[in-house]
Amino acid sequence: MNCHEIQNELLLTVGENQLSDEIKKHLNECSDCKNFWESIDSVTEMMGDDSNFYLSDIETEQIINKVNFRTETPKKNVISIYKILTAAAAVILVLGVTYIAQKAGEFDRFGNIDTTVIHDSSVSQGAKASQIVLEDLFNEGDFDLVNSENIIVGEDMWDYLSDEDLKYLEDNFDIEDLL
Amino acid sequence: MNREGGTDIQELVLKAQKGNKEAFSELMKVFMNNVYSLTYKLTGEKDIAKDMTQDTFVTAWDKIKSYRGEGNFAGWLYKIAANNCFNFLKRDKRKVSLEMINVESMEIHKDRVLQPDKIFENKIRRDFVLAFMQSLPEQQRLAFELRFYKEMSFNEIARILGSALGTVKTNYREAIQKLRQLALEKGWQK
Repeated sequence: MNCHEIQNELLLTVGENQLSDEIKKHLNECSDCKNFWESIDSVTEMMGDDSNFYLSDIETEQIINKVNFRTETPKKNVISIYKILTAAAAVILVLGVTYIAQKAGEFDRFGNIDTTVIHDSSVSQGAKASQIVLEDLFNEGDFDLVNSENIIVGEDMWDYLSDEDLKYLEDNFDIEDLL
Repeated sequence: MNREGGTDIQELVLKAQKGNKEAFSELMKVFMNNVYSLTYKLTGEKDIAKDMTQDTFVTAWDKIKSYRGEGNFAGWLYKIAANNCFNFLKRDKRKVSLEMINVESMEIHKDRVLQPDKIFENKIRRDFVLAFMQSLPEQQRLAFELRFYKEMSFNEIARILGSALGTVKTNYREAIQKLRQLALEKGWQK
């Protein structure tokens, strides 16, 4: 090893009592490295040992008591409260969105009932509502079914319905109930 | 009785892992000063060091079941303590430089530093060490603490810190270089 390598190694051996034979031999032969080592060795003496940083017995006991207190006290389950609140907020959000979506689907932008929802309504409540709406429309005589043609409701109204209209009604509604 | 690394420690750890609080209290007694001296030198303030020591043992109790006996128990505690300290220092943002810790007063006492009498020995040395440690970057500070004071091998330190062996050696080497340079500048050498 050259001087640079020796000095690098000496820096790593600070705090150790024993030097390797190779380093010892080098220090005996090289005054620069010997001075370097002595400068490190003396200054590290100033660092002392850990005992300068020890706690008193009373301080040790106080910390132990505090740790025991903190580890014995049941933790407030703050996280679970947040979880509950989050879950509640999520449920409210889903219900709200569902309600708004349902309402938005049933009414057009003028606030009138949108008959298109009748076609797609699959929930039971929606089906009942659809049936009522259909009955009302039949009675009012402005029913617009598949081909957007007004149908005069009356005894002969079935004459105005095309085969396509009839099939649609049969497929989607209980005709006897409507009548 | 030096119980560190002995079977007593292993037994106490096993008992503590099963929820035995008395065993954990015994572990705290054994390692209290080791942890405290580390937190003191990393943070530079006694009261903060006490809080960090307390936090370290609370964390250790919470996580003791996850300790699988890898390395020694002291090293495991040091890792927790160092993490707590560095997290605190990140939040605290206080920068303590060597100049701020009144190096001038230490120059007055430099003869006592080198040949301290019993009255001033502890305080002067402690002040000097704290001043020096605070002047180091965190990783160098920790490498110096674990190597010089805790006498851990470089391999152990590298494992604890999750760093490369070469990095740990470099940090330690630079810390010693700074210490030597400081002593030369201030004329603190014999």
